[in-house]
Amino acid sequence: MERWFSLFLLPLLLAACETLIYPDLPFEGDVLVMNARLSTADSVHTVHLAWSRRDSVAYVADAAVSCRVNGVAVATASGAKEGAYTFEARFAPGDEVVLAADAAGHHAEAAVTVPAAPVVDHPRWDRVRHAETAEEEPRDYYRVKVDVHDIPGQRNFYKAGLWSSYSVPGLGGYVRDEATGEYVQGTLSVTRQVRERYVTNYYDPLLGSSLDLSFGANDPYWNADELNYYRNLWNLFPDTSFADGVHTLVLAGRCSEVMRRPSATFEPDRQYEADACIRVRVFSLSEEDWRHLNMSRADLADFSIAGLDIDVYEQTQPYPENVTGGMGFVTVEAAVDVVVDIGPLRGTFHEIFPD
Amino acid sequence: MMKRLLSLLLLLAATAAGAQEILRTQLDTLQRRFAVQWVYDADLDLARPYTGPGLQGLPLERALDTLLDGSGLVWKRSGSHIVLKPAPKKGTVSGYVRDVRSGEPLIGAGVQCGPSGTVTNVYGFYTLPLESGRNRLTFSYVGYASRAVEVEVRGAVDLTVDLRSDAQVAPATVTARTDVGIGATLMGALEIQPSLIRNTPVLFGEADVLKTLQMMPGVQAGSLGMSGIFVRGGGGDENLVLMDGVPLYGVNHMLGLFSVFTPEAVKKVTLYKGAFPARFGGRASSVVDVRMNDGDMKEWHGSLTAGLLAEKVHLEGPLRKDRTAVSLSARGLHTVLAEPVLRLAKVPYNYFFYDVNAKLTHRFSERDIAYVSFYHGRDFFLRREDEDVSEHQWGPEPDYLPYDSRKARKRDIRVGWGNTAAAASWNHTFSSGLFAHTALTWNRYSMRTRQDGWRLQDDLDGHEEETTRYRLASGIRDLGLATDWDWRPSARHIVRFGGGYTLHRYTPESAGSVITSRDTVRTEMPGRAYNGHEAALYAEDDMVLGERFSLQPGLHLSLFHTGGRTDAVPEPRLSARWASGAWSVKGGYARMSQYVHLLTTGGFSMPTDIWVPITGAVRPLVSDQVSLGGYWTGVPGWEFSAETWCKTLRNVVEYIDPRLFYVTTVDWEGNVAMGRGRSFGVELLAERKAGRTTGWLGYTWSRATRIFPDGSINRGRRYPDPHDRPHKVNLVVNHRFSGRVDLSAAWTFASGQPVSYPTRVTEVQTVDGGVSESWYYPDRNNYRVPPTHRLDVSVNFHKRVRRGERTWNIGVYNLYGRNNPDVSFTDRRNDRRIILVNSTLLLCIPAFSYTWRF
Repeated sequence: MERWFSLFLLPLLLAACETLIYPDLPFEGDVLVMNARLSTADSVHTVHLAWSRRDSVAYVADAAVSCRVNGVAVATASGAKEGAYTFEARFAPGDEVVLAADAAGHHAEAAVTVPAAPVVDHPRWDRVRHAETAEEEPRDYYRVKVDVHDIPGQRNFYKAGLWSSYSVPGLGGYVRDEATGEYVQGTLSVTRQVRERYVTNYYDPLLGSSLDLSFGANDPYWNADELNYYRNLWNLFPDTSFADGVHTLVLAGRCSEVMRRPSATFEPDRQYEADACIRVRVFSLSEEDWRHLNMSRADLADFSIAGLDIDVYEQTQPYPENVTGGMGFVTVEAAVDVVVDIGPLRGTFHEIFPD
Repeated sequence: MMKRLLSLLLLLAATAAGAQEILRTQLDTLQRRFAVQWVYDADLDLARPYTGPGLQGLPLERALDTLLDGSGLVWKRSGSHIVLKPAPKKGTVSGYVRDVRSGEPLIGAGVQCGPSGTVTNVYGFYTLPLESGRNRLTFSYVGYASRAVEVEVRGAVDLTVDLRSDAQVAPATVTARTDVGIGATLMGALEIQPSLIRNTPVLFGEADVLKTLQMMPGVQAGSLGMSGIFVRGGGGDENLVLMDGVPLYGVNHMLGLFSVFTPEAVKKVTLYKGAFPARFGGRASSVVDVRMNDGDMKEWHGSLTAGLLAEKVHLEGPLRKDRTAVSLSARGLHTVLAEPVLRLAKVPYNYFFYDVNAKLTHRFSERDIAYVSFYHGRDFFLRREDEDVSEHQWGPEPDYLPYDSRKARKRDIRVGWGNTAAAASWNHTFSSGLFAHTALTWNRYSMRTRQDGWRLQDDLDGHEEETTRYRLASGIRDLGLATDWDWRPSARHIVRFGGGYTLHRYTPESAGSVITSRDTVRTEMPGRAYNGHEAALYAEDDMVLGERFSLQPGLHLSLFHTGGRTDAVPEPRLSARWASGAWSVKGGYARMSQYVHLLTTGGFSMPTDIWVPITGAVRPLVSDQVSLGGYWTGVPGWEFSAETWCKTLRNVVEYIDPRLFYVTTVDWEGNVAMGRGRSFGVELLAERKAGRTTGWLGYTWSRATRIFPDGSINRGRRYPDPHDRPHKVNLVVNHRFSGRVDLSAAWTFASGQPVSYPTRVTEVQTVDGGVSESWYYPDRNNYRVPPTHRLDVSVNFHKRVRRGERTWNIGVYNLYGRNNPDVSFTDRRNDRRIILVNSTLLLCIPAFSYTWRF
């Protein structure tokens, strides 16, 4: 909306007279903010702590963070880097997770119940050749289908992602590792999130990748691997149309993206072997988490035009919060992985990594 | 000699015998002359003497009228027979009241006969039951000379009267209207004259229907001088805006700075904001009934206007005198004509709109009149980008070899939106004074946007070239059939009843894109279309119960079917009035329902606003309003009123997050919440209607809040509606110095709008589990910006010219340059503090226009 607003009223805004007001609304002082998005799929978790102030936030440099699962202390967080505290723990659906933080006399705590995980089964995959239009050359896709069984008896919200990973031992020369950015020799392992737009996804009534009418630099096509808040990157969807039932989730990745060749020198005629797999991960979310995700997805879509960076239409309501004694949002998402093995793949670079 | 004397005596005797003739004898004479047969009851008294003038040489109809005048008998032809019967004790007089010069029907003209009276309906038609015999009727209308007509009432009498315009007529001599205004049983109904619309000073000197309504008590304006109206706490989509009976969805141009109504084409505007006539339904808060000119039946005339922003042309006249007339109007911004030049000059932006109105009226007879009307209006926004930069650059180390780079970009964005509406209708008057209006209507509202782009980059990284094409469309189409009947069974009852059906087709959004670079990626989202079937039946009786008390009960029964689901809402309506002398008290109750919602993200009329029908998850919006008022007309030329009201709204729909307007066919119902609204207030009005100086002073105190108990918005807490502005004052003065100069001034005051202001900065999670800084709002609409007030003035200089009259209008909007908060937003400036920025976009804007009327 702010894009339209700016397009239409920008010329007027540039010529407007401005009056600045400093509303003197009550301010209760600094508040401890705790945010954490935890997952049953991870063993290492990050808690973000900050001080909320009138006109700024500041990282909490020295805090004690603890985690209890079902009443049992399981971990304490350490090593704050820019307010990020990490700890190790494992969660399971149904667990009562309590996260607490103490800093400078402030105590913030959040208690969440890990939602039930969806049942995701029946993975199948195939490799298809598909052309968007009759005039185009068909391209190769890895198409993965899984069945998502809705958690019965309640309103449910989900998100889904597709990753690919492969390793190429003996890759000659110096290879730039995508993950670290360093040039290494030897086996190259690559994991990347792939969320290719494939025709099935377009018409999926649940996923419906929103059309991006981007007028700025965040062109979705060129930033497919980056967090793009104009699009439904995480395939968020509710159970509106398959409540208590089953939905077949289809995610596709173009082969050239799934097995994208790293930026490196290579010997074109040399034979390589790559072990590759594709992982579909489906998370179940709480309704508050769902709202929070949708709000932050929009909130962070700042619009800039002609050098102006005015957020002319503001978020008008608070985010969901569940931290007592402070502010913030803690959530644990129940994840289910389905892994399909698509390797080993053998061939020259041009075969394993088709253009 | 004797013979001549005898002949004279015989002649005298014969003459004396003729003077004693009875009706039967005359009838026998007529029977021989015209070879007709009489049919009558045997006990009909035809032996009564006839002493009237002779009937020789008269045609049959006139002879019978002359013969039976005063006899208590009436006649009716049935083939070759003439039926004679006693005259009924009661009869009806019905017909049209028109302007003698143009033949234009006059809406709300008074018709009085002793204690009985009525007013013409929206088609200028009246019916008045009277006692049989000779009656004297007086016809009157504001700004017209009254006229008295004597008529012999025997059964049903057709009487169409023409009135002559006369600016000297005092309003006190005009019969008070009984359908709107203080004299009506219905409360909360205001009539706006076209002269008031033309004379009310407004933005850029462009007279505007909706902007004039904003000056009325109980009606809030939107932000930025927008022409949206928010009536008694209702939303901008809760107003049923009708153009000749056709509901319009988009009624704003230029984000709401102007409405779609060209004032020159408007005949009458009526605003219903309290109790509603039973014939209206489909919106929860108000009805704006706009009637367009029918066309001058007598002679051609028109006007040409050139203003600061727009040109207007109006032309009306008879295609066949007293039979067929046409009215044509067109309006457009200057930039319509400048677009080709702007494109050649590579001006990056352009915006324009235009309206076209056309109406054809044909009178088959006084009993049958047909209308065909057409409207088309469109807004366009264009944006162009074209840049091409070539540079000679140094390459990277170690060689620093120079190279040429080039970056080029072109983009063309076009957004267009607007309405097209058409109606074909027929008025038929039955012999008993029963009036029927039947109409077939069609309306289409659409928004389309298209972006074409091309990008090229040539540098050390290689050559990249890409073309993009996006399109987006949204719209509604309606096809409807309705019939409305007016029946006057007695002098104390006006019964109105009727019904209608409308087929709606909603296409909230469909989109597609093609991006071509190394690959071509095509995205198509054909969009989901909804069909909606809406039907309604209604009936009401405006009844006079005694000298002082009147009651208007009614029922509107509406039904809506979509997606396999049917909703029906009975909507009772009740108004009552008690009057004694100059005092009157009114009370009213009305329920209204609405089966369509406008998803909007702010107080502005945006082309991306989407109309969506109710679904299984989104229920009909229902309002209940109770109102009470007191009125006094004890000072000639003045009216004083005080009204209070309370309104509740159920199933109000809002975006959970107002920025969640993503173009998606997926689960929009999941992005909205349903809640409740509540509003109440008091409206005071003192209005002077007569004399050189007219105008009004209005004050409104009101509150409007919303609540979403499910917690989806503002954590379930009640918060002020965006248009909750507790205090509103309007002072409007029109003074006529002479026939050549008149002045209008309007002072407006309104409390500031509530906005959301962050009280601190916090962190929120991102979708990948990281965090980002965000401003924290404890409540929605938790801060009120400073109030708005301004003075608008305009002066008209009229002069008779050889052909017609010319008028210079010079005006100033916001004369004393008040820095009103037209747009408010939060921002952070160099000191890093979060502030509220009030931008004043409309600051002391002069305007002028030249009009030639011929």
